Amino acid sequence: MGKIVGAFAMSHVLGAPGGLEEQAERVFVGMKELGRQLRATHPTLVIVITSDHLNNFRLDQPMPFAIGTADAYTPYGDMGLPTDQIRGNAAFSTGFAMFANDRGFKLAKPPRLRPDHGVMIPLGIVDPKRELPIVPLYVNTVYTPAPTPQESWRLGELLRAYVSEYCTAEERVALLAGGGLSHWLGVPEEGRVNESWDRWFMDTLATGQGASLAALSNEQILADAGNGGLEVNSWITLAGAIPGATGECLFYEAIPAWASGMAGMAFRV
Amino acid sequence: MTAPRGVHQLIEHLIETPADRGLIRTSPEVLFDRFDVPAEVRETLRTGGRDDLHRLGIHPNLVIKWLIWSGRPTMPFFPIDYYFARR
Repeated sequence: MGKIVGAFAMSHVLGAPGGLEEQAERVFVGMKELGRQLRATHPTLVIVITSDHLNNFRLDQPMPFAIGTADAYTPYGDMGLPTDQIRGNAAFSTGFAMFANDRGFKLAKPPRLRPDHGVMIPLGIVDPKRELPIVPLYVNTVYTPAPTPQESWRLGELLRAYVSEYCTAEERVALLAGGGLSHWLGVPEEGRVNESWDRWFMDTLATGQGASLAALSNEQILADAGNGGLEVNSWITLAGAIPGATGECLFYEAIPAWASGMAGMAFRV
Repeated sequence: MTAPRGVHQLIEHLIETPADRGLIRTSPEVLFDRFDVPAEVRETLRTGGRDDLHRLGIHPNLVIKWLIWSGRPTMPFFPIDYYFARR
């Protein structure tokens, strides 16, 4: 049986440092520390749980949950991010997609994926040398209706079961959720950050109560954390894969100029 | 709220075809005609801000992309290497 050896979650953007250099540096240092801790778990595979930003998915072909099934990916290169190829793991991806679909959970397999910053900012910092193969697992909160917390939690449960039942003992899987926390993007409220909600959300996870987050509705998240805040469904997927795990906040900065509550967490698995 | 005819398709085309993004600044009418964008929203697309585009019903992620390619980003650009060169 395989093992989940690490679980981490972090915002998947960075912003202009001008005028807030110290705060930006605290975020960056926190992200690097998260990466150091993830690499220290010596994973053989990283599952990056995140939302795409309509760079790989179209509005008229909704794929709220999707998985990359290639053995290699060329990043999309938005935000000027490097486009060096990254390794995938088609066997894991296709096996998990089949496993999920067999259990009534529709996980789309788009034929062509070029991961955007939702994958590449977390991964680029966690694995700067491009040494680790990844599986991009999409919780695409750009759709309306978006994936719900309940569905997201269920996806995490299935991921845990698949790793446990179908991976070999040599497979060491690290989970890396990307996105959030509260942010309003492309809407009049852009620039608002709800720090108290962000801290409540992280405290809930840190104290091993992630299951309670599955009872949230997207309407509640939209009201409290914004349209971009729906990305916390990726964090809830991660929590579903490590039920009861406690954790700690590695960094948090409310940065209205980046239109985001910037956060990172590490969990004890 | 539904976006005006052709607008989402136009922006999705530009996502898939980066070489055409320059037309937003040089020949936007070419793009508007190609996607049959209604005449009454073209001026807003050419000059409007985030909230104007939001009022048209354009998806927020597509609003951001359109404004970046139009030279009217809501947040300042920065070189990612400011961070990535120090990973």
